[in-house]
Formats: sequence, C-alpha cells, structure tokens
Amino acid sequence: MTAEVSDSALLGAIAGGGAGRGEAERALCRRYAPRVRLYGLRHLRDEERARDLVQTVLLGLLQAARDGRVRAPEQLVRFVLGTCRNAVLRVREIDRRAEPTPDEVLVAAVGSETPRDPVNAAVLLRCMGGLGDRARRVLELCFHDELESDEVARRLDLTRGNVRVIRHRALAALRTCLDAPAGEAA
Amino acid sequence: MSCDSPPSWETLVDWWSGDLDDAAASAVEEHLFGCEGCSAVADRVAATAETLRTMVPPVVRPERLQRLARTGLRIVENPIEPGETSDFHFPKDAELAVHVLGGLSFQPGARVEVTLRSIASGGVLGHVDDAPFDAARGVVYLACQRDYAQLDHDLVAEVRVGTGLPAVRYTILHHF
Repeated sequence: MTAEVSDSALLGAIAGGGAGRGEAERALCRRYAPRVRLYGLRHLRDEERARDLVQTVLLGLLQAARDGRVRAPEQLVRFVLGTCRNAVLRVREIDRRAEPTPDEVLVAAVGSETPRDPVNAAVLLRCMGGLGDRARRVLELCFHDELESDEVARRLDLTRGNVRVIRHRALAALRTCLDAPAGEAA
Repeated sequence: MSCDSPPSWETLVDWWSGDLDDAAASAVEEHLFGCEGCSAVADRVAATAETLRTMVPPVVRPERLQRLARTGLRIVENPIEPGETSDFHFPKDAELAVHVLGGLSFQPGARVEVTLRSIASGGVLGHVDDAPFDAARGVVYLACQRDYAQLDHDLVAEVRVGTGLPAVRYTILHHF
C-alpha cells in the first residue's frame, strides 16, 4: 500500500475487513499520525502529550473506520479533528482537577525539551545571529516566554500587527537559513 | 480552504502563535488534517518555534537561569574577571555552562551591549544591543551548551555598559 492510495480506498479496505485491512490501517495511521501530533503540539505544547494524543485519536479512528462510521474523506477529516478537540479538552479538564505546582509545570516543560525535529539548535543559534535585535526579542517573547502578541507589542512599544509581521518574517528568515546547505547559514 | 489556496506562511505562524480567532483557527486545522503538503509546512513552523522555545540564548536573563536551575538542570558557573582568559573545560556531568562575566557595575536603566567575537577569524559571532544583566551581582551571564561545540567557540566577549565607555573584554577558550 503506497501513500498514493486515497483516503476513500483506505477506509473502504478497513471497513471491508478483507485481507488488506491490516495494511490499510497501517497506511491510514502513518498518514494521520504526523497531523495529529502537530495538532497536539499546537494545543498542548508538550511532545509527550502530543504522542499520547496520537495514540488516543488513532485508536478511535481505527475503531470508527472498522465499524464503517467513517467512510468519506470529509468525514475522516472531521472525525479526526473532532476527536482531537475532545481529547485535548479532556486533557485540560484533568489538568484543572489536579492543578500542578508552578515547579511541576517548569519541570514538565524542560523535560520535553528534546528537539523533536531535525532543527539543530546550534545551527538555529547561528541563524539567529542574522536577525536584528528587535526580531530576536520578538521571537524570544513570543516563543520562549509564550506571551500573547498584545503583551509583546506593549513591552516593545509596537502594534500587534507589527509583532505579527516581524514574527513571521523572522521565522521565514530562520527557515531559509536552516535549509541552506552547511556552511552557508548566517 | 482548498489546496489550490493553501494557508499562507503568515497564517500558519499566526495559527501556531494563537493569533487567529476560533473560526479561522478551526478552518486552518481542518485544512491541515486533510492536506499532507500544508501539514508538512506547518510542521516546519512548529519545529522552528519549538526549538526556539527550548533553546537557551547566549546572553541569558538571570530569571531564566533561576527557572532552569529550579528544574534540576545541571548548571555549572564559570566566573571570569575583566581582561581574564578562561581556559574552560565543559564538565561531563553539566548540561549547561554559564560564563559569569563579572566586575561590572550598572546604573539604573543601564543599556548593555554584548559582542561575541571569534578569536580565529575576528568576525562577529553574535551581538546583542540591549543585553540582559544581573545588576545585583554586577555580572552578565553567557550561556554555553554542549551543542555549541559545532560552532566557532573560542571567543572574546566584549561588554559595553552605557555609551562612550570602552568595552570590557573576556576571553574564553572552550574545550568540549
């Protein structure tokens, strides 16, 4: 089964329950796992929790596909997105019931600090050298301190629109630098 | 939002940063789940942003060092006085080294510039115009991670406090 097989064909093979079911299930999971993980990272900001979310959502998806409850590609996207949303809400509800101490939050944050992507921190640091001070400060406040754009704007005496423009241009410049062949990075 | 009109880089950065309203964020997410190509682009935004979130900048704020220390991160301090050369061996059991550039005094509202210069090439490795400092200790903290072994790491740190004053120099020779 290759990546070219459509979602519809995969769902059909899973619901049909024939000899190709296992392979179709693996293909469907391989296709959607990165997207669920991305959603998890965006909303939970934690690699381990994002991985847990992938498992939860894919288990639900497989069951729904086997039962024939998800047949069309549009249904598939909505099912996965809906399951992600519900799972993230449950995680947050659990968090609220067992409010961690600030130190536990910090430990959890640093515990997940292993880069999950080929982005090399040393190269990224070198690339940061190619940015201006203001862009570096915006990135630091947005991504490290996780401040909202309004607060970043207030601290740097900018407008919210300025912050967004500086941020996306700086990230684009970093990606260009990161993607440059070795030795050409800023 | 079809793949004929994929979300722009700006939209993906805004989405990742939480700057879209709920309806727009939902539309982006629905699109990403249905589109492998856009999901891969969003992953590049996420990977860069997440690495930024977790990396320690070279000139580090005292509050951040305190937060990192509270997490149990093994941090070793390397005090250096102005004009001194430090032959620094990165300890095997340390996760983060902090060169403590001492002998400085800061007036309230002081503006501090830090320039890192390669000994080998003389080129500027990094420059921070408005660098953070620890006024109580009279120091600037220069963070060093093991990953930096890949970089040009024998350097002179020049610290200038205020304008019109000469820079104070610290020479650091790293051994990883």
